Amino acid sequence: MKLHTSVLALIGFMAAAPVFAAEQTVTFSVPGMTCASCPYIVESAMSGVDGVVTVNADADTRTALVIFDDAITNADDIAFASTSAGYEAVILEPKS
Amino acid sequence: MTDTIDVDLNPSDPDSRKARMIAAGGILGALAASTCCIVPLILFSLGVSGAWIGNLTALEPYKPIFIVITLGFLGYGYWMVYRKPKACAEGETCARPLPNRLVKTALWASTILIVIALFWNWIAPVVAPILLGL
Repeated sequence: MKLHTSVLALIGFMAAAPVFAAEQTVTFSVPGMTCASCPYIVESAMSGVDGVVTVNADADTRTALVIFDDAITNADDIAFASTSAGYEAVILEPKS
Repeated sequence: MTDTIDVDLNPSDPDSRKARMIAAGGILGALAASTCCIVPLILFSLGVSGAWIGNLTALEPYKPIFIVITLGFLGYGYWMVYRKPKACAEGETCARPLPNRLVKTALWASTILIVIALFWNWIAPVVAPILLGL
């Protein structure tokens, strides 16, 4: 009986977990990312934000694809981190 | 020719002065060519950052111009230092070898810098992750 409820609770928790810690993918436009070393600086700056899971900066398209935990941080903070490192970032398309 | 205030650097010798000017031009050109791309990475890896770094990156379109100017300075500098037949005026000025160590060091330093700037597109993917610890 006791075991039963705890297992149920565990299952419920596991099902609910993705809702609490939702990973969000946002594409940023980083127009200043013109040189070969720029994307690395952007990646490093954005990765420095707590909650950011992966950053993929592409110099060719001048964009950065960021996956982050929206329970910990938000897209504005990530854009700010890049901007204050010298590479202005603008949110292009938020996906859920 | 009678100026002997600074004998070592021989400022009165027009060729020596010219060589130093050329070397200085090469250094400045090489620095300008590396400002857009190499300097931000070095600053960032040292923990220096700020929105103003974007201004450095904005110099990127002028990089080829800086590279060409620098290569011109360097070419002329190397020619002066290693190739130019020395005109001996009464065996006075040519007794001392024209290129002093300063000029040669400057030429080689700016050569290394400009080569890095030239091939930065290939160097950056190797160096940047190491410097930034990615």
